[in-house]
Amino acid sequence: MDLTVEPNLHSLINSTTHKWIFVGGKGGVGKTTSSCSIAIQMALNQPNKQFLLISTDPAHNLSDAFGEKFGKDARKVSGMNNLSCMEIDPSAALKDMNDMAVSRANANGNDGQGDDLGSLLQGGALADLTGSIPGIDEALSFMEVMKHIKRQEQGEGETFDTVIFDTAPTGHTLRFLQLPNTLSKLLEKFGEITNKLGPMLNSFMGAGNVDISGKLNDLKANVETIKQQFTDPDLTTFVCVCISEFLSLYETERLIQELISYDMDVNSIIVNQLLFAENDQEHNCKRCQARWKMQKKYLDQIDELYEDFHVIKMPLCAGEIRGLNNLTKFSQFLNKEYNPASDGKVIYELEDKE
Amino acid sequence: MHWAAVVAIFFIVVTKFLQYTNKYHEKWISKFAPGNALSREYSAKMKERHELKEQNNSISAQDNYAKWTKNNRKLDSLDKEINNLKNKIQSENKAFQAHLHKLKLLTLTVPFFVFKIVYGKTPIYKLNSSTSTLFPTFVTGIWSQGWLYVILHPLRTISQKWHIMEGKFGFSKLDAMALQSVSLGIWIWALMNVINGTEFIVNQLFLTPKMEAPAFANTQEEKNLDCTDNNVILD
Repeated sequence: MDLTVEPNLHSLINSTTHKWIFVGGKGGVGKTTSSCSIAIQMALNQPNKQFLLISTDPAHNLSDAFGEKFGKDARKVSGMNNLSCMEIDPSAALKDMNDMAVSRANANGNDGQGDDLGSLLQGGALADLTGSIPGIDEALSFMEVMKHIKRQEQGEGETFDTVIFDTAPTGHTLRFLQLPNTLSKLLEKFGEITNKLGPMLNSFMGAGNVDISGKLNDLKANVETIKQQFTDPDLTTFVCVCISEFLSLYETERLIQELISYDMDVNSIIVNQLLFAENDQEHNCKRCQARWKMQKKYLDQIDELYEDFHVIKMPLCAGEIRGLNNLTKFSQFLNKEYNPASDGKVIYELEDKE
Repeated sequence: MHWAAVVAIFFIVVTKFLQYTNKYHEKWISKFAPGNALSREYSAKMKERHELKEQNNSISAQDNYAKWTKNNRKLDSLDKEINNLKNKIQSENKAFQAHLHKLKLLTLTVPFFVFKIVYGKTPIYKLNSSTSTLFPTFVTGIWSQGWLYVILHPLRTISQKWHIMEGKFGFSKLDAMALQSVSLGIWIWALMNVINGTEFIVNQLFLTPKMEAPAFANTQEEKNLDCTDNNVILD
C-alpha cells in the first residue's frame, strides 16, 4: 500500500462532497491567486456543478485578480458559466439591511415619525453606525454563509455546490471561524433571558411585532448547522497558503494548530513563490540561487514536518498572475504538480499581459 | 487538679499546637494527601518541559525548523497536560483540606464547644470566704456562673421581686455557697486571655523585626520664625 501523500490538490479539485473550502494564510503569500486557481480548476473539472468564490478580506482583490468588477451579488466570471464571484461590501450590505428595515417599518403603518426604531434607521443611520465596527466584515461574510445554507435548504434562488472563501490574513480568518462557537454561546445566553422575560421583550420593539424568540431559535438552528458542517471533513477543508520563509511557516504552523483545535479539517499546504533556480538554464542569477537555497532548506523541513499533508509546490512566475487565462495556466499545477524540468517554460508564458 | 480543667487544658494545647504549626500543615498534608501521586506526575512533567525548553533554546529555529516546531508542539501539549494536572491537584487538595477541616470541626471544635456548654458551670476551685467577700456579688456571680450571669442576674432580681416565673428557668435565688467558686467557663476564658497576652508580648518583643527610624535629609537649617523686634518693613 502506497502511503505517500500526493503533492497536489487533485482529490480536492475533483471532490464531490466538499461544500466549503477556505483558503488562508499570512498576508502577501498568494491567497487570492491560490483561491482563484482552486475555484477555476474545480469549475473546469466539474462542469456540471456551480461554484462560488467569496472574498472575506476587507481589502478585496478578486476583481483585480480576474480583471473584472465583482460586487456584493454573485456574478459569473466572464468566460466561465459555472464559476461566480462575490466581494462582500460591509457598508453596502448594511445599507441594504437598513433600507429593508425602513421599508418594513413603513409597510407596518409607521411613517417614520415618532420615537420608533424605524425613525432611527432613516437616512442609512445603521450603515453609518456599524459599517466600521472591527469584525463587521467577518460577521457579514458569516451572514452570507447562513443565507446560502438557508437558500439551499429551501431550494430557492441561485444555489452553489461549493463555496470557496478567499480569506483575510490569519487573524481575521480565525475570528471568522470562531463565530459559530461564539454566536452559539451568545444565543444560548440570550435564549435563557428571552425565555425568562418572554413577551416583555417584544414590546420594546415597538410596532414591529417581531417574534424575537422565534427569530433567535431560527438563528440558533442555522448556527448549529454551520458548526456541524464546518467540522465535517467531508464537507469543509482549509487550504493553507505560505511561502518558504521562516515567518510564513511559523504563522502557518500556528494557523494549523488553531484550526485543529477548532476541529476543522486541514490537510493541504500550498507553498508559493518557489524559485526552482537549479533548473534555470538561461537565467542563473546569484541572488536567485541564494534565495532558492534558503527556500530549499525550508522545503525539506516542511516535507518532514507535514508528511501527512498535501504539500503543493508552486513556482514564482515571471509576471503577475492576473486575468482568467493566466490564472487557468497557473492553476493547472494544483491538479498535477509542477515539474520544473518540463513545465519551466510556462512561468515565462504568463508574462504576456492581458 | 479538677478533671474538667485537665480536659480543657488538653483541648487548648491541641488548638494552640495546630495554630503554631500552621505553616507546616501543607507540608505534612502533602505527604499523605491523595494528590501526592499527581504531584509526582506534575513534577516529572515540569522537569520534562524544562528539558525540552532548554533543548529548543539550544537549536536554531531557522536551521532546524522541523525539529524546533516538533518540540514546540510537544511543549504545547505538555503545557496543556501540566495545566490539567495542576487543576486536578488543586481540586483534590481542596477536597482533602475540606475533609480535614470537617474532621477538626468534629473532633476538636464541636466537642470543646459542647464540653464548655455542658461543664461550663463546674466549679474548678473554691474561693475562701474572705476572698469571696472582697469582690462585689456581681463579680463573684460572673466567676461562678459565667457570662450568662450578666443577663440572668437582673432578670432573677425582677423575677424574685415581682414573683414572676420564680424557681423556673434558673430564676431561683442563688445561695451564698454557689457564689464562692470559679467556674470552668470563666477559668478557660481567663487562661486564654493570659495565653493570648503572653503571645502578643513575645511576638512584639522577640519575633517582630526591628524597624529602623526613617532618615530625614537635613539640608537646611531650621528658620527661626520668632518675632524679635517691632519694626515693620513696608514695600
